[in-house]
Amino acid sequence: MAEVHPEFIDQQIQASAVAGDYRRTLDLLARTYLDTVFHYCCRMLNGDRALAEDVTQQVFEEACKSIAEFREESSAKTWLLAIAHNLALREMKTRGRRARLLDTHAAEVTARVHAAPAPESESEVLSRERLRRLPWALGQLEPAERSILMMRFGGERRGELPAAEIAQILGVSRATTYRQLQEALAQLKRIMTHGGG
Amino acid sequence: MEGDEREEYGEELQDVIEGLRRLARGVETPPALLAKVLTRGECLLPPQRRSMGWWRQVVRAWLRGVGAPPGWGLALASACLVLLFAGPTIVTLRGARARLQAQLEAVEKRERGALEHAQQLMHMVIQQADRLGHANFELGRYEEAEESYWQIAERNPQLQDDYLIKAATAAWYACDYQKARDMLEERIKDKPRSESSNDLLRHFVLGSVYHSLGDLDTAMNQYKIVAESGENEYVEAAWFNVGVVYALQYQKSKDEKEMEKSLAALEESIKEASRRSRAQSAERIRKIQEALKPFDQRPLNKCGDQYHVTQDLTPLIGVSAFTEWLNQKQVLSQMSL
Repeated sequence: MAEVHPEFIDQQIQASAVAGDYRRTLDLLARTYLDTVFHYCCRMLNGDRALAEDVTQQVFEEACKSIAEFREESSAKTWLLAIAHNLALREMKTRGRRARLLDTHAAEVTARVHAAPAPESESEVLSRERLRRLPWALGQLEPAERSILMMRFGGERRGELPAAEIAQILGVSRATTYRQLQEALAQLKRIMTHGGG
Repeated sequence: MEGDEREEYGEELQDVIEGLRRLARGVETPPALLAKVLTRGECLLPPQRRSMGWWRQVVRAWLRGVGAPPGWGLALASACLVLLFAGPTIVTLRGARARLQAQLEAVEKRERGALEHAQQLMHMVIQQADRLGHANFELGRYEEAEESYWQIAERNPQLQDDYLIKAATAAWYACDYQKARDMLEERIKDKPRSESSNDLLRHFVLGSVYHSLGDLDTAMNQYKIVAESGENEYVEAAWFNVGVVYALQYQKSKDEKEMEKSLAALEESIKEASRRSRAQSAERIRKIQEALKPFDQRPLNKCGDQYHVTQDLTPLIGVSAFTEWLNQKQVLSQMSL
């Protein structure tokens, strides 16, 4: 397959979809956005790589099923991340149910072997130590908050979405998206600093 | 990139934003994933669509090839005749196709409904089995609880991990340490290293099982996986258990270094606890004191000594360095409260 200049990838993807060359569309989508989708899923699912791999595959399967409907209304990245957003939230809901079922016994196990309650700390400065806590702190955020942060800041800049496109995915205004982003960032910082609240 | 992020989100949030980006850089996509995505995706793609441009090109080429007007006219007349006779048939065929399509959609809809219904039933069965397992567990009927959890794990690959940990926990409470070990080992053996909460819990429980079995080296390895995985909900307990294992090793070898390692691990445990709260730190110190209680002064349990072995710091009783360290910790804890 001939190399396509990164700036023109989205045009190429749209052109091949419109022309009905779906195999090439899939090829371009996967080669260009697999990392972006996997990173997003991985962070949404608390670093569970095996699960992130499954959900990433599901994202591309869903994309394949509706590839004929893909048009120019959104960029390919926005389209894929919208699918990833829905699937990751669904997966987290399912896992949440499972986790609740497991909770009782996990608590018993950890009580027996001395587990710890919710964290709480007094540090004010975001130090290396606190950055080390970032994956954990992300896991404490509401799924919707985590999702919006990962879409906006969760990748190399090429893998990130501007607020306008996130607004499109969430079906809210751009101003609301900015507000939600700021709130999620502030909440994340609070958790990293004080351990919650 | 939109505007200046420093203006948009404020200077004070820049480190968080940078942290998020740095975190993303640390994630590597599995190399085999692209091939999997392409292979599975290709099976799901709709059939390749022939573009109208192709037809236009064929017609244009044909028109260019037709040199003489009479031949051209004859061809057009033939095409009209064909359309005149074939038209009604095409309309009928289209109708039949639409009817077949509608029937197909109805069948698919029924199938989807049946599938959803089956899924709901399955969910209910799982819930019932889980409730039964939980009730048995609460009543101390660990074998029955284990059986319920095992059934769920065996029949539902998606829930397997969670319920194997539950089943293994029940087996452990039932003092069947071998069985608990086999369940957890089987699951860990072929799995790539992950830092998800379930995986860490599994390592932690497995460490406790080996600890109860007296295999201190393996127990230590399992605890250290958890303790050294950074921030997680079991890290404090894992350090405590590492301290307990070193204490037991000290008892066997009388090597001062083992005692020092035990103190260092207990120190880590208190540090992790205090990172969370002062109260948690005080609670940890209380648990260290409790672990100094001789077994015969603890509640009776049918598992015997093995039950208490994960909470045993008795080898450190009378060790002056330890006593001094603990006293110091108690004083500091009381002052901070």
